[in-house]
Amino acid sequence: MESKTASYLRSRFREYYLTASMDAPPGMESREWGFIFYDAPGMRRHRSFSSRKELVDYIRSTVPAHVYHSAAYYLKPDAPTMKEKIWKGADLIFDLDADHLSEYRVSGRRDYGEMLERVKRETMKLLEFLLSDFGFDEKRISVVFSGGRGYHIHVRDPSIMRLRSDARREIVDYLTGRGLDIGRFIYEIDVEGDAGVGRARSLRGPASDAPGWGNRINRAMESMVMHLRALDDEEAISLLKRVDGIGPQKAGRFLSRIREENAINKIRAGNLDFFKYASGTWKLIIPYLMEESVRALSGETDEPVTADVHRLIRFPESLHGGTGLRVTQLTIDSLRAFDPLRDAVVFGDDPVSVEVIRPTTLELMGERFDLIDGRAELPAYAAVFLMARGFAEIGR
Amino acid sequence: MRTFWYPFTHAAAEDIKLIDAPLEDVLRSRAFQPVRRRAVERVRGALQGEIPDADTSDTVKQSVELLSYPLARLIVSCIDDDYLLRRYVLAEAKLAHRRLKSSDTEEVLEIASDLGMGPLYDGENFRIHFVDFVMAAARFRSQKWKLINRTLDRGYLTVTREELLRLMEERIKDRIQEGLPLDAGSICESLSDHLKSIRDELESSKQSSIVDLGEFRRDALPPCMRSLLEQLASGRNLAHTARFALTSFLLNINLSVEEIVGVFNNSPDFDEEMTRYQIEHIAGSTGTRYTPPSCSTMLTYGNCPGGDEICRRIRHPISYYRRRVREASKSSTPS
Ligand code: SF4
Repeated sequence: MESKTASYLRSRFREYYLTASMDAPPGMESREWGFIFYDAPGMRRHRSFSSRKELVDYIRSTVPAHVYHSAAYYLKPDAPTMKEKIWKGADLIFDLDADHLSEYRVSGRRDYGEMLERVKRETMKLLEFLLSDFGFDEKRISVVFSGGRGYHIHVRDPSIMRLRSDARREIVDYLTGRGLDIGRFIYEIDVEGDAGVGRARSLRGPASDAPGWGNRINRAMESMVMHLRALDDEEAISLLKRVDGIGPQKAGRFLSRIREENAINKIRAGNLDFFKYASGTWKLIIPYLMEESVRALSGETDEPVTADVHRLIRFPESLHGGTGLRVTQLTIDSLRAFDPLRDAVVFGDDPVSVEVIRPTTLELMGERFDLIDGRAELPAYAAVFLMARGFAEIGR
Repeated sequence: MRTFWYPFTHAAAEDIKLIDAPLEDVLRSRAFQPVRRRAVERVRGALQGEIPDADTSDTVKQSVELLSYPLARLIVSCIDDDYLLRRYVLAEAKLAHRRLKSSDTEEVLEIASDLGMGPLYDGENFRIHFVDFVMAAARFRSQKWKLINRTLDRGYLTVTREELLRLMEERIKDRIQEGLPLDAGSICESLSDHLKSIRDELESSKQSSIVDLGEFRRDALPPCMRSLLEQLASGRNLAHTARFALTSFLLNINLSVEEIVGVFNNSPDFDEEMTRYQIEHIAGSTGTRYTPPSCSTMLTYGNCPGGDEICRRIRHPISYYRRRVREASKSSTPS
């Protein structure tokens, strides 16, 4: 980024910060703060502020490109090392990012709006877990658009504050489905045989009213069966045959069972007896089942953000220096209707002339811009976005 | 609650305050000799693997049992050795766990709440908050301790009585660990006689924890394995690759899972259940039996300390061992 572009962005950011409300997070004085600037390398961290006013004054006078605070609370937040800071506890943080979804990680480029929509759906899935499985109070959960490629969730509940990293990772594993032992949910029991003669085995699964993962597994099974029932025999059998160990005969038998009239009711009740002799077919479920997990939470190899109890996270209501969009504080209710490419835009539409250096297309505020190299006059919000992303420089 | 059985509880701390026992007297007076004896027994027991049960049949004996706990903590603090500290915390927690098993539900619930847990009893099992579960269970490795394999409903899940006690044991460990080592300062001087004998025992315990392995021939071990065992004995934590190398090696030379659990007993983060699980895994409980790494792999992960004469002629730690065993039996068989 050219320095004149940097100073232009700075002046626009200053404009925003002079009027932004910037509510400080609870316990702000115990948190570590970090800042990145357009015109200085690295991060200025280990800062602390004793009041909101002090923080706001600092931001208004230095105008950072990025503002972060720690999820953790420390005794001495400004000490230079983690050890000296003395950790007191931390919010439970979830970072849902398009980069964690394999389809976006690999291909890289995809429609920004569609990508954000996908992550938003993942975010809603996660919220459902937090409310129903974990029983967190809605008031303790805050949802934030990251200003970039996803959403952050901050849980501030006294019960989780002191959880160590290994315990936080267990929560992530729960959400992502890692380590699920399917045998705990689908199993055989002994029942009285016909007419009370002898004993028989009966295959059981979770019922539709089971709490937690039981219900999700049930839902996955039901949707798998619905899916297969909607196909014609040939298609359904060829799909089933893709499962290791299932030949045409098994597949056919399985299919005739699920076509039975009350198959869905039986699944809802957790009775899987009509699947007998085909329990290997359950492997089919697993890919469906994983659709129920929160995939945007972490890549397979990354250390999940949630487990890092010293992690810095973007300050809600600050600007994301790589997009110029506002890191937007939302509620669970407002998330559904939230349109990041409109609602997180803070700059107006006064015309700004820029020099496009990489051709791109962009959709913001419901407007579509197809840009090629060279001079262009754009509304300020689009100009800021492109310059922050490195697609344009300020024009002369 | 029998606070003398559970001296780490807040309730016990209150009871201790009520007993008229100035520290000066506890350290010196004849009347408190049984307290000193039991305190030393606690620490010694920890070194030997288990704190013996105590006779608590009358109120005097109960006070002795109760007072011996803070004194034992002082003793451990005076010696201030990581290995001892870990053994001590573990042994106290195990003692508490044994006692919990014979406590009735009411007492179990009282102790749980003293530890900051709030289990609800449903007549057979217990409902606990997921935080109380993961805080301890995240340290265990078997699948049943993973949160995802529990039915989590509005923040709560069900555990059996046995599982609850296991989770409590971890909480108790944390409670006992809190504040250790204490700043004992000049108090240590008055304890110097006891300290000396414990120090001696500590040394020999560190030594024996690596030799007592029955059949297996320590002198035939290659330098790498010897060094790993020594690191364990001195209370160092082994990296994952080192743990794997040692475990698979010992399995290969036919040590049993139990014997190997014993080897890791000294590890700072020793968790019996997890250790057993890992060893069984390496032993092939899932169908694959793992072979120990070769010398070149050992080298890559920094687990080869540099070989000796024999190492130059072999490519695998197992070959080293076999060779030495063969040689030893040759020379000891009269010709
Ligand atoms: S050369 Fe092989 S056997 Fe010898 S110490 Fe190294 S790893 Fe062990």
